[in-house]
Amino acid sequence: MKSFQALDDGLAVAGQHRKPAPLVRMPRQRLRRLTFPAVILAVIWGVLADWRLESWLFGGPAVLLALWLLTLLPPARRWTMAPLAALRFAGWFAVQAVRGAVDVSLRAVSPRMPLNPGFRSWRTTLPEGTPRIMLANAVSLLPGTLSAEIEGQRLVIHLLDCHTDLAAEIGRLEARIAAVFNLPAGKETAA
Amino acid sequence: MPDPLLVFDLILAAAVVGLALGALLVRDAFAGVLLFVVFGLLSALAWVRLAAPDVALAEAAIGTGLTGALLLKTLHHLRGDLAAWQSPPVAAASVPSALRWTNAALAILIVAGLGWAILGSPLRTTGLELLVADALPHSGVENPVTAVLLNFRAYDTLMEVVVLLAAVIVVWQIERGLDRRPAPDLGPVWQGFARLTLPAAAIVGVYLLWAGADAPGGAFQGGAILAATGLLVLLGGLYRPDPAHRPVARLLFVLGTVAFAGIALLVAAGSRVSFEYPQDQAKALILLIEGLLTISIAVTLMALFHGREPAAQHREIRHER
Amino acid sequence: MIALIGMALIGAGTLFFIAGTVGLLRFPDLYCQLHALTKADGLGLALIGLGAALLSGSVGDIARIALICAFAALSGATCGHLIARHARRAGQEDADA
Repeated sequence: MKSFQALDDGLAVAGQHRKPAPLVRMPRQRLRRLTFPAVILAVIWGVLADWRLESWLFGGPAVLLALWLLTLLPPARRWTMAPLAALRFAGWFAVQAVRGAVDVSLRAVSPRMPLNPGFRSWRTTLPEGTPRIMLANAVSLLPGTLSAEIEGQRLVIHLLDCHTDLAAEIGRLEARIAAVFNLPAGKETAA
Repeated sequence: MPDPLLVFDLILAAAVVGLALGALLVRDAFAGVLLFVVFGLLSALAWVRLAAPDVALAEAAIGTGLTGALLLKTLHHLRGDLAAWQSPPVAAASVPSALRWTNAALAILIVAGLGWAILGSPLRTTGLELLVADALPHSGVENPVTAVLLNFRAYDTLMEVVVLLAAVIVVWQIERGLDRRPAPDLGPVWQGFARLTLPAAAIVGVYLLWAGADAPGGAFQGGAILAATGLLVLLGGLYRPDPAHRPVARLLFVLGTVAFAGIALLVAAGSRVSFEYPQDQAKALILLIEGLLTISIAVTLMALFHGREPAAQHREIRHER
Repeated sequence: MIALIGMALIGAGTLFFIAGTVGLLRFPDLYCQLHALTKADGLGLALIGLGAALLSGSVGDIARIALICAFAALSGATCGHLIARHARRAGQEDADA
C-alpha cells in the first residue's frame, strides 16, 4: 500500500517514509511544511469560487493570510497516513456517529429517560498529537461517550450510562485510529 | 389549511418580537445577551424569508456573532470591575415618573410615525428596484446590493465605516493597558481545532468579500468572518497585542476610510462628481475599496473586542474601595 | 424522486434537532446535555446538508455543503469537549475551595 505523509492537522501529503522532522525547524523546512496546507487551502478557495480565474486576485492573498495564521500555531509533528485505512475509518465512523445520535435522541424522548451518567478514565495507547486529538473528537460523537479532558495519556470520558463496556468501545476506536496512522495497534507508542 | 410558509412566517415574527421583549425585560444581563443573540439569529432568518440574503448574512455575522461576543466581553468586564465595587442597589423606582411618561409618549409617537409611514406607502410598488436594475450595468458589479452600497449610495457606506473608526478611537481613549495574564491553556483538542479551522475561516472570510461582486456577501460580511477568526486568535493567546504594534494597527484602522474617501475625491478630479467612478474602472475600484474596507473592518472589530489600547497604564484609574 | 428523498432527509434532520433540543431541556446535568447537543444536532445538520445537496445537485454547492458539514461536526465535537473540560475544572475549583 502506498503510504502518505500527513501533517499534524490531519491533512495528507504525498511522499515515502520521510524522517520525523525535528522540533526546531529551519525557515526552508518551515516553508516546505506549508506547501501541502497551501495546496489544500487553494483547493478550498477554488471550490468556493468555482475555479474562476480572476478570483485568484483575492484567492492568492486569502491563502497567504491562512498560511500566516498556521504559522502562529506551535509546530506539530507529521504523521504517516494510510489512505485505505482512513477511508475504512470514515465509513465505520459515519455509522457510529449515526448510532450515537440515534441513541441519545431515543434516550431524550423516551418517557423513562434511561440515564446513568458518570465519569470514567481511559489510558490511551495512542501517541500525542493528531491521533490523540482525533480520538478525543471521535469519542464525543460515539454512542454515549463524551471526552471531557485529555491530559497526557489520560482521557476523561463522560458516559450516559456508566456500565458501558469502555474497553470494547474505545479499544475498537483506538485500533482503527492506529490503523489510519500506520501505528502498531494496542501497543504503547512513545510520542 | 393555511399556507404552511405563512404559518412559519407568523411564528417567526412572533418569536422575534417575543425574544426582543425578553432581552429587554429579563433581569439577568447574561440571559439578556443570550436572548439578544437568539433574537439576532431569528432576525437573520426573517431577512432570508424577505429575500434579502445580504442583510441576513450581515445580521448573522455582525448583528449576532460579533455583537454577541462584544456584549459578553463587556459583561465580563463590568462584572470583574463591579465585584470590587460592591454593587450599589439599582432601584427601578429611582426614575422620575415624569421622565417615564415622556419616554412612553415619545415611543408611542415613533411607533405611530412608523405605522403611518407603512400604512401610507403605496402597496406592492417595485420601489427603487427598477431604477437599480436599469443602472446596474453602469455600476461595475452584478450584485444590486453591492452596487447600491459601494456605488449609487457609496457616501452612506463611507459614513458607516467612519462610525466604526470613531468607535475604536473612543475605546482606545477610554481604556488602555496590557493583559499580563498568561495565555489560557485550552488543551490539545483546541490546538487541533485551531489548526484546521483558523486557515479555513480566513479563506471563507475573503471568499465572502470576493463573492460580494455578484452574489450575497461583501466587505462587512467578509470583515466580520475575518474578525471572528481574529477573536479566536486573541482568545487562544496566539497573538498578544503589543504597544509596538500600535502604529500598524492605527494604519489598518484608517486604511479603508482613507482609501474610500481618497478614491471618491480622486475620481472627482475629472469632470465627474465625487463617487462617480469611471465606468470601465468601476469594478476594479469597487473591489479595491472593498478589499481595503474588509481589512479595516476586521482589524477594527478585533480591536473593539480586545477593548483597550495596548499601552502601559500610567495612572491607576480604577476606584479603590 | 431525488427531490423526495432530499426532502425526507431534511425532515429526518429536523427530527434529530428536535430530539437534541428535548435532550437539552430534559437531561439532568450539563454533561448529559452536551451529549444531546454534540451528537443529535450534528447528525441533524449532516442529514439536512445531505438533503440540501440532493435538492441542489450542482457540484459547487455539494462541495460547499460538505465543507460546512465537516467543519460543523468538528466544531461540535470540539465545543462539547471544551465546555465539559471547563465545567469539570470549574467544578474541581469549587470542590477545592
